[in-house]
Amino acid sequence: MDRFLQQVADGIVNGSIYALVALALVLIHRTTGLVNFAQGELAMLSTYVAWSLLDSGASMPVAVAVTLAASFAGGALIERVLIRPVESSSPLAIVMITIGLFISVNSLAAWIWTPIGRPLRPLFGFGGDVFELPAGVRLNGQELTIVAILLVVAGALYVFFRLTRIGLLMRAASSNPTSSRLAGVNVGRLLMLGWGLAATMGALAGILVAPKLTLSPSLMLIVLIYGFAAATLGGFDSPLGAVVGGIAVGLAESLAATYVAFVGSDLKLAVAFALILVVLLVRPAGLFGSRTVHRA
Amino acid sequence: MSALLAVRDLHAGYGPIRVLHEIDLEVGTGEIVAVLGANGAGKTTLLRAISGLGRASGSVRIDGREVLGRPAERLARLGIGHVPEGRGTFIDLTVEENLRVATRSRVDIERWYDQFPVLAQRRRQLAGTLSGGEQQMLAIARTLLSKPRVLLLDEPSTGLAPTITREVFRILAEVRALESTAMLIVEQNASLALDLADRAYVLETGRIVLGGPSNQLRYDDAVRGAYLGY
Repeated sequence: MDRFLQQVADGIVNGSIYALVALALVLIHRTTGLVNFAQGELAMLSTYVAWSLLDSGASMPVAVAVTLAASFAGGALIERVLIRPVESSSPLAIVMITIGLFISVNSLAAWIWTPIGRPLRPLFGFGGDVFELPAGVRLNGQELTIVAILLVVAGALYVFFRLTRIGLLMRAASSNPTSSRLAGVNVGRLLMLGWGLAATMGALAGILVAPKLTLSPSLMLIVLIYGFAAATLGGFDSPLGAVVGGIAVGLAESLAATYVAFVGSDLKLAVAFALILVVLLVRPAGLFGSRTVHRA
Repeated sequence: MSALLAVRDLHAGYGPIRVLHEIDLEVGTGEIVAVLGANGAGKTTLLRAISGLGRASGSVRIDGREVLGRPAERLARLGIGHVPEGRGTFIDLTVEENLRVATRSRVDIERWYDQFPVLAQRRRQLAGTLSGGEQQMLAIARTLLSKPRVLLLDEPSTGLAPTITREVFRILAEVRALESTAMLIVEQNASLALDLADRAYVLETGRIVLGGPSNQLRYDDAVRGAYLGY
């Protein structure tokens, strides 16, 4: 039983990271209707920036704040400079641009920081301390922080979308861009905001997950796949779905690796792919996604 | 006297396809003008060109000020209120959220609730769950909340039962009486449109072929044959 609960706790921790990545994917999918394949690589780049700042002597809060702000600006800039010019042409053009961005950012990071992985110390002093939770579950400070940050981010996004005017306008713009423009809403600026927020979410995920793995240009490759699985399960247009999907994928990964003998740690990633496949076959809109009906 | 909305020598199309040619039309302050035409005559293209959704060349002036070529969101703030074809409501927002997109003013929203009581009853419902007529009223109310100088209406009768269509037109007449909002209304139901409008134009394959007071057009033989069916 203790072992089971420990696996559940570990699953929730990993799931929180997947949920953050899924939230980033969902934010962009809601506004542009497309998947940003470069989301993970941008997060990896942000993570390198954060650790470069730490190495150059910046304090942890300053390094994180500067990185998040820079990621926001970078995301908004990408929308304005790379996505906007092709926005009205084929969706494939945008997909190609995000794939191109994926490859360039990955190579850029390898060129600047070498492709060799680098182990990191915990982000903050108590990150390595182990906390005893009820029922014998043990998590360290870093892991507890990850879950706490997901909860704070999810709550903040809920407040933002439900209770603020700009959140309402973002929902309107993703529901019907043309009508939003006719109502005087500057949709272009909201798209930049959406990409900026997504890049910030990704940066948070990267910074939080890096100390658990090692920092290398391939930091987010696997995490992104779990993020895709989470967004697919939750529904690509639902922020709530992204959070629930992320936790569910984290749990499935953790429990399958422990209790399904042939999965083990070698086939863990296959769980994510299997989940994507099953969801797409059984319920393509995901758990919380809205099924849209298209008229000819 | 310069018209509130003056369109001169407007040409518009999609890529290499020209849809509108040499369009001249005017809407005066507080005036309702109808544009009649068959499917494919270019009515929707005309409204999209005026509201900045489509590309066009020529001249569109509001109060003498040239506005052609500005983006739609700027034109909306300059006083062009476009209720697009197919209503264009935000289907996954509630009725009230739809209205709040257009205004910050609670007072204004309450005022239009008085005008459209059915919207007040359904304020917490998702717009997508409304009937066609209710969605049309929501789209009109939302656009009016932006306080347009001229309201562009694209086929408000599309997909509505005859009684609902008459109700929508009754409300439009009421809005004009209350607010003296000028309107440019594109409509296939020529009889209803002529009842509401002061003047009308007839659009055929992208050109204006006829224009005049509604009462005069109503008795024009060509209009009767082609659009009124008697």
